[in-house]
Amino acid sequence: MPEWPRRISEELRQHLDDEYDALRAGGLGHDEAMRRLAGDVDELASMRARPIDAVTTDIRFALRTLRKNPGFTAIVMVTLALGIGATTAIFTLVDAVMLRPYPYADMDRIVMVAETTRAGQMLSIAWANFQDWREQNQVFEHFGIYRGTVINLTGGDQPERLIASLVSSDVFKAVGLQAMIGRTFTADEDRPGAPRVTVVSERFWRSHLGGDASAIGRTIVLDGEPHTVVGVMPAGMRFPSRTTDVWLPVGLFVSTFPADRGAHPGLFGVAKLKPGIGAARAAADMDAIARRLEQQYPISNTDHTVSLEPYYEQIVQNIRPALLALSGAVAFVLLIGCANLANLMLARADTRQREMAIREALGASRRRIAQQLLTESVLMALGGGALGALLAWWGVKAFVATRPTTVPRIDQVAVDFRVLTFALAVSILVGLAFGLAPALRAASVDLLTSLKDAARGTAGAGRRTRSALVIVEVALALVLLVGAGLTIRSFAALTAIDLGFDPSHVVTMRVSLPSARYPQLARWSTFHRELLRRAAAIPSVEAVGMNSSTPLEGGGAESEVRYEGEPAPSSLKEEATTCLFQAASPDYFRAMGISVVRGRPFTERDNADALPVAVVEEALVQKFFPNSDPIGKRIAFEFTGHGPGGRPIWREVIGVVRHVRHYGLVREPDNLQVYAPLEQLPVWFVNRRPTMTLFVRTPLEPEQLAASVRQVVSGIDRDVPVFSVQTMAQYVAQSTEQSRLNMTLLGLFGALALVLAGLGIYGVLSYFVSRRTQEIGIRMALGATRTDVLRMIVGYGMKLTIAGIVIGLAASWAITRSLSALLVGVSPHDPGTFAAIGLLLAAIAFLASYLPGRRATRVDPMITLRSE
Amino acid sequence: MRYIRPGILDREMKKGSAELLILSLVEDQPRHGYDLSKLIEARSNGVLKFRVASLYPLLYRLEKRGWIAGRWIEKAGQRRRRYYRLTPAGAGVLASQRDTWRAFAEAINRIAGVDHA
Repeated sequence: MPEWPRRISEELRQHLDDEYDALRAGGLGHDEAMRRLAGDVDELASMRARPIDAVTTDIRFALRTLRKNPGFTAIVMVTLALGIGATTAIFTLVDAVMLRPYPYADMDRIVMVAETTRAGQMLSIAWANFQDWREQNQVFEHFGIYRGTVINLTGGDQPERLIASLVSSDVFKAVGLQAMIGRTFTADEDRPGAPRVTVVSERFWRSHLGGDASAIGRTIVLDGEPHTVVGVMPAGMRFPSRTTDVWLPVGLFVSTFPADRGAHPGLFGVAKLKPGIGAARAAADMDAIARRLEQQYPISNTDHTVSLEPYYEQIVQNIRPALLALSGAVAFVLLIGCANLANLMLARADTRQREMAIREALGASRRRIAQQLLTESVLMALGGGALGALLAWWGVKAFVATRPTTVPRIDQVAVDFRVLTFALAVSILVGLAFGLAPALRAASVDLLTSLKDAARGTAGAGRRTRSALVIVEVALALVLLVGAGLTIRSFAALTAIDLGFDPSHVVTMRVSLPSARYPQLARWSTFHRELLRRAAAIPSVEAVGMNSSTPLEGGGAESEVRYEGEPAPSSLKEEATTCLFQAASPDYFRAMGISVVRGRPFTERDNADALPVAVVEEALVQKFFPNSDPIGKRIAFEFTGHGPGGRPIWREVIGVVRHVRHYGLVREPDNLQVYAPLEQLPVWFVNRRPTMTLFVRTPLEPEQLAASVRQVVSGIDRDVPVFSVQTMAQYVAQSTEQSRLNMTLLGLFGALALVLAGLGIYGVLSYFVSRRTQEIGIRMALGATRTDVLRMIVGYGMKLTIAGIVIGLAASWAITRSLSALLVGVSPHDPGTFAAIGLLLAAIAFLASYLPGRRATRVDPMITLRSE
Repeated sequence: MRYIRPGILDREMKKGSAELLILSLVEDQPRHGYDLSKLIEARSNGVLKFRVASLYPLLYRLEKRGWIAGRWIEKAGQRRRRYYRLTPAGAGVLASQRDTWRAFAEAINRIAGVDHA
C-alpha cells in the first residue's frame, strides 16, 4: 500500500482541522476545543504506532482463541510436535555426521590412498610401492602411511590392550593436527633403530597419565618395550580411528614389512593434496606412476594402480544413503502434518467466516485478518516446535544410548544450540505453511456472501482445496510407507541369511601375545594350546575353539589358491582364484556349530610333525573338484616366491564345511574359505602372528565366562590381557544394525504418516458430514436409505484415497530407486510391497471414512430440517 | 436465527450498514471525508456517529474495491481536499445493498410490529 499512510494522514489532519474550526466557530476556546479532540487524536496516534502494537495484540488475541479451543489446539500441537520432533531428531544426526565441520585443517584436501587392482579390488599398500609413490608424485603436499594394530600396555595393576596406530610422521601433517602438549614425531624418530617414542590420545593421557603436562617425557611399557611419551594429541584427533589410544612411528616396524611388492601388509596412505590440485588430477598423476611400476615390476604390479578417496567421503559414504532416506522421510511426515493442519485450519476458517466478516465490518482490513490467522498458526507451530524439540532431545538420547557402531561421530550427536535454531526455523516455516491457505482465503472472502452463507457453509472452493490436500497427504503417506515396507522386507531378507554357524551361546574374546615376549613360534603355540586346554576345563563350558579371524568381522588373510594339477595360468592377466585362509584349532567347528559335511575336522594329531592338511568350504569343492571326492586332494594357498615361478606349499584336504559369512551380511566377496590347523600355522602367520580369538560355547553369561578366562590366562602369563569380550549374537546384531536402524526409523515414520493420513481423511469427512447435515436430512426425508448415505460419504473418502494411492504408487516407483543402497535381497520395485502398502492404506482410509459415514446415517431428518 | 445480545445487534447494524451509508451519501455528488462524517451525524440526529479512526480506512477500502473513486480537488483560498464519488460498480453494490436492507427492515418490522399493529 504505497501511498496510504501519507494520504490518510493528510486527510485526517484536515479532518481534525475542520473539527477544530467548527468547535471554535461554535464559541469554544482553544483549550476546550483541544480537549474535545483529544480522544480522536489519541486514537489516531495509536493507529500510527500500529505495527508493533498489532503484533502484541494479535498474539494476545491468538492465545485467547487457542485457549478457548483446547481440543483443537491440542491436536494441532501434537501433530506439530511429532512432525517437528522427527525432523529435528534426524537433523541432529545429519548435522553431527555430515554438516558440522571436522577438526582437520583443509578437510577437502585430505585423501585416503590405497593400492587397488584395475578390476577394483582394494588392497593395502606394498611398502616398496609406497616409497616409490612418495618419491615420484607431484600432487601431494604430505603423504603419510599408517597401519592399525593392538598393543599390550603393562606395568600397571593389570595388563591392558590398547588400540595403536603405526604412523609415519607425515600422517600428522596430512591431517593437519598438532599435538596439544609436546610434539608429534620427527622424521628422525620415524626410522629403523630410532629410540622408542609414542604420542598418546587425550583420552589415554587423562586416564593413564594424570592429565597434566608432566606426562611428557614419561615412559610407558608397550608390548614389553619402554616408550617415551613425546606428545598428546587433542581430542579432535580421530585418525585413523576414534578409538586410537597411542600412535607409534611406523619406521621402527619397517623391517617386519616384506620387501616383496606382492605382499600387502595392511598399510594404507593418507595424503594432503597440494593447493589447487583436484582429486581427479591427483588420481591421474598417481596412475601414471603405477603404470611405470607395472613396467618395472610386471610380476607383482601388473594391473595394480592407486585409489584416492576424499577422507570426508570415506567417513560419510556408508551412512549417507540412510541419512538421505531418513531426511526425506521426516520431510514427508512434516508435509503430511502440514496438510492435515492446513485442512483443520481451513475447516475452522469456514466456521469462523461469520466472525471474520463481523471483524471486517468493524473496520479490520483483510490484511489484518490474514495476519491474525497467521499469528495463530505460527504460535501453535512454536508451541508444537518446543514440544518437538523435547521429543527430539529424548529420542536422540535414547538412540545414542543404543551405541550404534555404524554412525560416525555418534558421541557428538546431541541436541544443541544449532539443532534448536533449526527446530525454531522449521516451526516458523511450518506455521506459515499451514496457516497460509486459510489466511489467504480469509483475505479473499467476499463479505456479503460470507455473511449470508456463513450459516449454511457451501464454500465449494474450500472443499476443493481440502480434497486436494487429502489426496496429497495420502500420496505422501504411501511413498513413505512403501519405503518403510521395503526396508522391513530388506531386514527380513538379511536376518534370513544363512550364517553358516550357530551364534547362540557363543562368547568370544581375544588374546594378543606381544612378539617381544613370544619370539619363537613354539612358545606362541604352547601358550594357545595351554589356554585351550585350561579353558575347556572351566565348568559348564561345552566347547572351546580358536581362530585367527572372526566370522562377520571381515578382514583376515587373503591369498591366491590353487589345486594340484591345475593348468598353470596362461597369462598374468588371468584372474587367480582368491581364498580367505584362517588358522583354527581342532574344536573351532564344534564350538561355532559349523557343520562338517564331509571328511573330518582337525584333531590334536594335525600338528607340526604331521602331514600338512586343510579343511575347505563347499564352494571350493564345487569349483575345484566338482565331480570327484575332494578328500585326499591337495590345494595350496601359499607360495615360496611369486608369480608363475612361485612354488606352492601343498596341503591335503581332510574335511569340507559349510560356508561361513565372513565379511558381514550385506556384502560377501566370493573368496573361497580355507582353514589350516593352528599347529600347522601358515607361513604368512609365522612372521605376522595373528591376534587369536577364543570361541566358547557355554550357557554362562559373557562377563562370568570372561572372568574365568582372565584367571586362566593370567595363570599362564600375567602380562597378557583378554579383550573384546563379545557374544557371536552381538556380532550378528552389529552386522544387521544399520538395516535394523533403517527399518525401525522408516517404519516409525511410516506409521506416523499412516496415522496422520487416516486422521486427515477422518477430519475432512467429519467436517463434510457436519456441514451437510441438512442436505443429508433432506435426502433421507426424500427416501434415501442409510446405506445410500453411507455409500455417499464412504464413496467420497475412497475417491480421494484412490486418487492419492494412484499418485503415490507412481511417485514411489520413481523415488524408491534411490533407496537401493539401503536394500538387501529386495528390489526397490518389489510388487508385493507396493500392493500390500496400497491395500493397507486403502483399509485405513475405509475405516477413516466409515466412522463419519456411520454418524451421517444417524441424522434425524426431522431434527435437521427444523433446526434451519 | 441464533440469539444475539441486543448490544451486539445494535453495533452490528450500525457498523454493518456503514458501507451503505457512505455509498448513499456520495451517490448524488462527490463529498470529502469530513463532510461525510458531519452529514451522517446530522441526518441521523446524532444517533450514528463515525470514529475518525474507522471512517478513513473504510473509505480507503471502498476505493480499493472500486466502489468509490477519490480525487484531490483544490479550490481557491482553500486547502486541497479529497472528494469521493460513486463508481458504476459502486452503484450496483449500492442498489443491491439497498434491496437487502429494505427486505431486512421490512422483515423485522413485520415481526416486531414497529410500524403498525
